[in-house]
Order: sequence, then structure tokens, then C-alpha cells
Amino acid sequence: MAEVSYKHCSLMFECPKCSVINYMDPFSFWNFKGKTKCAGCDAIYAVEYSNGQRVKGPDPAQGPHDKLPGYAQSKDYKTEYTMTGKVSPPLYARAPDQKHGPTYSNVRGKPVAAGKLTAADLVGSRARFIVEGKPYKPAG
Amino acid sequence: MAMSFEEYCRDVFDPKKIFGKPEPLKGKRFLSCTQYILGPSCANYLAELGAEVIKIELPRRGEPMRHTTPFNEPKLYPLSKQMPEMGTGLGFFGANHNEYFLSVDFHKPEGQAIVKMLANKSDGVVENYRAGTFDRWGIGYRQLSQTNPRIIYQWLGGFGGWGPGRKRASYDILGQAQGGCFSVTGWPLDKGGNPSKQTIWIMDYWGGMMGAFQILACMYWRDNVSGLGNFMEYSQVQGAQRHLSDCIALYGRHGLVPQRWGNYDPLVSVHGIIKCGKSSYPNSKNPQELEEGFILVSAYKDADFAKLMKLITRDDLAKKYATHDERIKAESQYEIYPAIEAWAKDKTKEQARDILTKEGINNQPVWNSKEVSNQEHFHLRGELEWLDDPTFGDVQSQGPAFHLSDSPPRHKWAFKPVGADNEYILGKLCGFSKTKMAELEADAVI
Amino acid sequence: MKKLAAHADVIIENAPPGQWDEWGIGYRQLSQLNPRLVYAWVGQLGQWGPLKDKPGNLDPTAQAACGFVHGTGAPVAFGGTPTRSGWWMCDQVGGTGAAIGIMTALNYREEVSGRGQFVEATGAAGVIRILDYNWGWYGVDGSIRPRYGNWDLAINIYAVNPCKDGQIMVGGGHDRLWYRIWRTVGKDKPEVEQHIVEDPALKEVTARLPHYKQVETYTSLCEWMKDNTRSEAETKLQAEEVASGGVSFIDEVCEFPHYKYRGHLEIIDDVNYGKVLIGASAFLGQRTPGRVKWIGRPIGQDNEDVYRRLLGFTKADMDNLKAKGVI
Repeated sequence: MAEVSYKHCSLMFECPKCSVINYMDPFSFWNFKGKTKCAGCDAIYAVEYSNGQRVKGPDPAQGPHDKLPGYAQSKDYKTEYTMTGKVSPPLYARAPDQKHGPTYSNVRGKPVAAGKLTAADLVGSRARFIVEGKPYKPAG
Repeated sequence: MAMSFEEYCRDVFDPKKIFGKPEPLKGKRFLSCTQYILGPSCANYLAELGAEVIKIELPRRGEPMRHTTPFNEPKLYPLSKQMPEMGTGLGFFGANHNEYFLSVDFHKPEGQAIVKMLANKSDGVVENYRAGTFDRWGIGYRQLSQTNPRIIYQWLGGFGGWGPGRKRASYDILGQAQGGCFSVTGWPLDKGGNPSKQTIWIMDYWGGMMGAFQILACMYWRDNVSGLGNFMEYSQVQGAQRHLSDCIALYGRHGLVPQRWGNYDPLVSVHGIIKCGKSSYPNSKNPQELEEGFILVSAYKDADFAKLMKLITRDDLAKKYATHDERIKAESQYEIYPAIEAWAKDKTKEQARDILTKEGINNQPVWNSKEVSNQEHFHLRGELEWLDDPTFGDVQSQGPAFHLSDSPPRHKWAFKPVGADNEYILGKLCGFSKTKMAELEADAVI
Repeated sequence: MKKLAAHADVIIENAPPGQWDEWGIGYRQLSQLNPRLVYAWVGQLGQWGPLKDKPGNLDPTAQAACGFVHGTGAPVAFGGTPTRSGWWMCDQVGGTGAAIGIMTALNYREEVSGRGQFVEATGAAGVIRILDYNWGWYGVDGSIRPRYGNWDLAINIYAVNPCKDGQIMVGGGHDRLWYRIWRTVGKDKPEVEQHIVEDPALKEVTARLPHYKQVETYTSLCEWMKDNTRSEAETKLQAEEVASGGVSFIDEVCEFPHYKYRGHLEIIDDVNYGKVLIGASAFLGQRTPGRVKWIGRPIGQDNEDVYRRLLGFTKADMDNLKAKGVI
């Protein structure tokens, strides 16, 4: 497959140096004048966006940057650039170190069926541990 | 009187006593052939009132709303008894309480026959497929009213069942966008704002309420006046226009186009939400709690405004904007609110609340869903409840939207897996045998 | 009031909590005079309970107190703040809740009990009811629902984003519409379509929901929309039957042909105010349509009719009460 170029694009900003695509999310960059940093190679660019169109830049510049891209990935979908300090932080509903996983007990510590079950965990279409009102123990 | 008014209210509205009181719509039966929120929530309000609402979904995977959940995270299990490893997303949460879950494939003639059978024994049908789809399948109002003239048929949708735009699909935010709601919500351009969405599918949920009201009104007319059912339609975008009638009147009379005014109020001043400089939970690990606080400050009467200005040591503004006519002007508001924010800069929203309350100035901190969940007020009144759900366990749920002293609405369960009530409903209302049901299940009709 | 209550099916009031009771015309007293009376109180947070209403409370008190304001507006990363609704949303939703409660009480009175009852509805209760998964989510793992601007935490694509001349909504939560949307984009920008549909991380509907995937999706979509006006984008998307529609301002709403054709807007020739453009009743029914007959009346316009017809007042009675400032 021939390599596709995104150099002509505005909001999908392909870094002239490392070719990583920086996603200049529309609500931060729709109208923007300042410096941003490529998430792939940390190069600083002065850019100007007006109504979603990149009207100036990217011109090489010196740091610090004003705003980070919303997200970045390489053309072959490698996403290792998406991390703190490289792209804007994501949204959190909880503490960042509290990962969401299957949970069988809720914020009050009582049983709740919020994790995967197996056929053996069921009574009809209800979870056995809920029917019995006990903490969850996997069947078998 | 022996009992204070407060005690009296608490006694007659006490959520703990609800299950000892009768259900207002007991004995009424509605079919809910619905998906997403607009149609489901409409039928849900009837189910809260005690109607037997039979929710009909496609077999196995159920309706699409079961597969939506914030960031694809929280789900309740199982999705159906055939799929214990899959869950129903919490997007399904607010619109399906108390219902009976039947799975039927409408596309198949056997499925359509089941719907007909059920509709003949029902008071009404709530439906939100694309307009005309049920009519094409032979289960629309025209056909169902032949055998059940008392049927109340409520269609809900985006642009309505007729008119040049009738074929357009709609969703909640499309209703908000094209109805005009976005254009008046959010900060104005010079404050860096955009037209803004109102959180959480409000045009769907509120539209469902409008539909439920229409059904109840029609039922009153049917049972007390005419004996006849009705074909009704609710268009979501039309609801937005009904909402925004004051903006529309302004345009009609003066040609003015109301714009966004952020967290201030275009008609009342001071009556706006301001930023406090400090977070209430500086040590929290949750970024949601690290955000600075916000608080509604309301002091629109002259005396209250003067009091507020004295409090923030800006008596000059009290003099400058002594009348409401002066305060309400755009320029005045742009001067007054930043002055209040300057005062609140070194305070949390609770500190601001305490000072304002002590001075007798109305206020309300902006609470997040955790803070709301922990308010005794809402749990005491039954607006939030820990529901002992028979399928999913201990879940926090919203309570009904209103209180009735004698025949109150109530929540019995949050929802159930796809097809959980197939046997109960098909056995009771269609007289199907177990063998017949097994056949239908094997053919994926149910 | 006591005499009027004897003739009324429904009384609706929103005075500060307990005010009417103190005056001897609350539900407790009036229901003695007319047991069939349905009495509704409406407010922001309630007429009882630790946070009950204070005099002068108006919307958006309930909006701020129920989690709505915290959840509306752009996230901090996009420079947003908690945002109130541009209209008195809690009043409207709370009012609709009250209307349902009243209608329920009337049905119950006619069919079952023969008696009225006490109804209470608040803006906070109404909006808490409709804030969908906020409460369930907190209950499961303590999550606090964040603001997400014009995007949606639970569906992608389902958002309003900027375009050449404003903003436009595009929606397609499942695969059928997802590919139709990118096909539409691909007609103008094949490289953007290719980039998205070949992204291995976007194959599953549920995999498209994490924040960064939404940034990728909407930035790519805007790469196309920035060159299209609302009307151009809408026309192209609707050719593929994708739900889409521009953010309309009030003048555009008022002049929109579909709405005019269906009578969403009507010019009412009001007896007091002349011709006024209004949003028509949204209740459409074959046999029981809603309708607007007048839009409000000057204070006391119907005094004569009501006092004579229901209470048998004479002209002298009315003059007397008027002089005292009672009516």
C-alpha cells in the first residue's frame, strides 16, 4: 500500500519530521494561534488555525508549547505517543489509578452484578450470588 | 394543628410507606415497542405508576441502548440468560424500571401475530420506530384499532410522521440542535464559548414525559368521555419549540435572535453561577473533585443586591446599579459577576455558601453526581434510592420525578435481562405452551 | 380561596414551603372542604427535607443542586466550565412531572378513590429522574460523571462539532451508520475514510468509546466538516440516510419549512396582545389535539366571570374587595 500523506490536512496534523499524526481536536484548535508540540518527536511548531483551517505553519519554533494535541498516532496506528506530557490528558470519572474492572461489590460494599458471569453463575436469568444475597464466588 | 406542616409532608410523602399504598394505574397494560430513550422513558413513567408495561425487544441482543455505556465501562450482568458474559450498559438505566421484558422479532410474521395478540389485550402502545414502519408491518394504529378501538397509540420521534422532513432520523441531540436548544446554551463567543449540548439526552427523557402526560390525558378522556382510543404523535423537535416559546415570541415580535448568555441570566440579575477559586477536595485523587467549585448566587431584589455588594465590599456597584433595570443590562452583568468572582477567589464553594447563607443571600453550590448522591435530602425524599434489585443486586437509582400522597409512583426493579419475562407474558396473555415457546425460541422469533 | 377550592378540580401553587398551610388554605385545610381536590405544590428542591426551598429560589437552583450543571459544558481540557441550561430547564421538566402527577391523581380519583390527593413535584426530582446513568455509575464504583462538552460518553459517533458556518450534529452509534458516515466523508477525502476504516482499534462499536478514540474520530470528521457548511454537510450525509442536522439559531428555527408546514410555530391572534409568534402545543392527537387559545391574560381579567359565576359575588362585593386590595 502506498504511503498516504496527510500533509495537506489541517486538523489531522502530520509532523513534517517524524510523520506522526497529531489530532488537533476541533474544540481546542478550531481557532488557535500559538505553539504546539508534536507528540512523536517533541518538535515545537508555531501554527495558526482559523475556522478549522490551518492558515499558517507549521513553522519550527522554540518551546514552551501553548497547547498539546488531543491525541496522536503513527500512520500504522501505533499509539505509544499518547501519554502524559505528549497529548492532552483524557477525562477521568475516578482517580486515574483506579482502573475500572469487573466488580461484584459496589461503592457501599454490597453485592452487585457488574462483572462477567458464566452460565453456571445463573439461576434463570439472574445471577446466583444476587439470588442468594452472598458475596460473589465464581461457580465451580 | 398538632403536626407541623413539615412533619405532615414527610408523613404523607414518606418513601418508606409507598409500598403500603395503592398503585394508580394498576390494571392498565401498555406495550412498549421502543428503543433508545424517547419511547422507552415514555412507557417507563407509566410503569412507575403501576401499569403493566411489556417491553418488546429483539431476541438475544435486545435493543441498542443496552449496548451504550460511558466509556464502555460499567455494565450490569447478564444481558440475557443466553449471554451471561455480556452485560447491559448503564445507558439503559433510567428508562426501563418496573417493566416486563419480552423478546419478539417484529420482522417475522409470527412475531407480528404475537404483537397483535398482546395489543388486543392492552390499553395502549408506545412506539418509536421510524414513522410508518409499524403500519407497513400491519401492526400500526390503523390495524390495531380495528380490533381494539380503545387502544391509545402513542408514536414518538424526531421530525414527526408527516411533513417534508418526516423521513429524517432523529436523536436527542439532533432535537436539541435543530430545535434551537444549543443556540441558547453555553457561553457567548466573546467568552470563548460554543453552542452547547445539555447533558444526558434531555430532549429524549423530557419528550418521554410529554408523551406520558398525553397518554394519561387521553386515558382520562377515553374512560370518562368517549370510550375511544386515539392515535397520537410527539415530535421531539416540536417539543423544543414548545420549550423555547419565549425566544420564539421575541423573534416574532421584534426580530431579535436570543443568544447564549453562559451562566448568567438574561432576565434576572444577580442570578448566576460564579466560580470559586478553590477546590473543595484539594487532596482528592479524582480530577473531577480537584476542579474549582462553582456556586449559584441569587440576589435580584434591590435589598438583597445591596446586601451582596456590601458583603463583597463593592458598595459602589450597589449605588451604580441600584435598580433591576440597571443591573440586568449586559454591560452591568459583565461588571457585577467578575466582582463577585473576585470575592470568591480564595474560597471553596462551601465557604462561599456558608457566608452567603449567613447573610441571608440565596445560593446553591454546583454539585457533582457524588455530592448529589450523598445528600440526605434526596434519599430522604426518595428522589435517589438504593434499590434492592432482584437481578442485579444493590444499585443506586433515581426515584420517580414527583410525589403523590395517596397513590404514589414507585420503583420495583431497575430492569431485567432480554426476554426475562417471556414465559410469564406469553403463558399468561397468549396461552402458549412450553413446547410452543421452545419452538419459537429455536426459530429466533422470541 | 376556600370558596374557590370547593369548585376546583386542581390547585397548583408554588409559594414558599408551608406558606399556604400557615394561611389556612393549604392541602390539609382545603381537602377538608373539597375531598376531591387535587392539590399540587411545585418548587426547586422541595417543601420538606433538610434542603427545602427558601423564598425567592428560582431555576437554576435545582439545576445546580442535582448534578445537571456540573455535567453540562465542555471539559476542563477544552476550556469548559460547568454550564447552566439556556432555558429554565428544571422548571420545564419539573412542571411536566407535576402535570403527570396531577393527571395521574385525576385518573385515580375518577376510577378508584373518588378523592383527590396531595402532589409535589420539584425541578431537582424531575432532572435527577432523567439524569440517566449518573446515579447507577456512582453506585457501582464511585465514578463521578464528567462533563463531555458536545460529545457523548456512551455513543460515538453522536456529537455536535464545528463546521464551516457553525456547528452540526452527526449521529451514528452503530456500524451501519458508522460506515455510511465515513463513506460520505470519503467522497471528498478518501484518505480520511481510509485512515478511519482501517484503524484496527476502531473496528468494534464499544472500542470507539474511550476518550482518545473519540478525539481521533471527531478530529477526522472535522477534517471533512471544516470545508462544508451545515447545509452542505447535511445534504451529503442525508443522501446516505445519516441522522444529521445543523445547530439552528432561533430565527432559523422559526423559518424552517418543515416546522412551518407542521405548525410547530403558530401566529396566534391574541385578544390582548395582537399577533404573537409562539411554539404551538406539542400534543398531537387524532381525536384529542392540544391547542393554544390565548397566551396569558392581564391580572384579574376574568375576575368578574369567576367571582360572579362561582362565588355569587355582587358588584358591590367586588368593589368592596377591590378597594381593600384583596382582588
